[in-house]
Amino acid sequence: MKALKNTFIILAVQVPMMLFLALILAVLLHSSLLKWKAMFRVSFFLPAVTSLVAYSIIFSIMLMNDGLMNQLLEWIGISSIPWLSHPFWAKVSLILAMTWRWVGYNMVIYLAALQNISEDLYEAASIDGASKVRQFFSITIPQLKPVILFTAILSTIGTLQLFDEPYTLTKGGPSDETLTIGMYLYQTGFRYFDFGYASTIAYVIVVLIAILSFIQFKVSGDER
Amino acid sequence: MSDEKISLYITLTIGALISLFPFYWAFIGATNESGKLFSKQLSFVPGTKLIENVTNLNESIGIGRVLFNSLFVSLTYTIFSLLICTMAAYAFAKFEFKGSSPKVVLEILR
Repeated sequence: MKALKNTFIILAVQVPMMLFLALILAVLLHSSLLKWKAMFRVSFFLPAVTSLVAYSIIFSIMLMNDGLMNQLLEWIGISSIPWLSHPFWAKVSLILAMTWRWVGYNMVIYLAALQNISEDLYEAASIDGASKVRQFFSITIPQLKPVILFTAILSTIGTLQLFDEPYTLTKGGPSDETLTIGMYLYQTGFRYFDFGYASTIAYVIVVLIAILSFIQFKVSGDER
Repeated sequence: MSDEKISLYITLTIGALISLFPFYWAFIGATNESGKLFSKQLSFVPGTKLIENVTNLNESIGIGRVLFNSLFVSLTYTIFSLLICTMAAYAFAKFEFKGSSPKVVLEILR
């Protein structure tokens, strides 16, 4: 089933990338060197207040064949990219748009959690001579593990239900290359009026979400 | 130390610009003619058609009514979800009953 494959490709690329980006941004924004923290936070969080359809339309206009992105690329000297009409690039633009929308949201969750990490840990680590990168991997990530798990599950659920973005951006895309499960459900249910099959797909999604969440709990090393 | 600070600011500024650019661009779109958005000669300065566009929008969908609907739904939703969720969370936190501590709820709340 193509929809399933597409959804898993998007899931496998987008969720880890977005969460890592959000984590890095959160750590940078948490840095004590930074002034105007509020301004930076607001600008990163602002995408998360836009409605799904509105931002998809903006992206679809920007990514048109002779749209803004391609004009910028030509201006730099790179040949234009068929963002929405090539099987590969359609997925890339979908992932880009989703990352733009959701990084700020996850970043805010991480920021809230970062403020709960005791400063003592970092102090002790720097006295022991651990570098900033080492501190990030040995203190920040372990301390944030529950929160990372939480965001990972939320993003996984969100990606499995992905509908608005492919619907507005690509309509399922060049020969179903960006058809997601959500879109497939909508198509069978409301275009071909096969409600029974559509309900079955809905249950498949539920089961998938349950399985993936369970795997994530297990992988993250549940001690309780 | 200073190098670190500079690179921090540069990274964050680039990120913030990427985050904010579509908003700015939507604003440019709102102040220009609709046709210009799809044409080759794009400009990055605001146009002069903002009032005209808003008038057109108001004529075609009635912006007041639409905004009121959104506001009404979001306010009602917020009030009811706050009410119900705080009560439910209190019950989960304070009382012990069958299924009051399923692993999943605990894990997500942790």
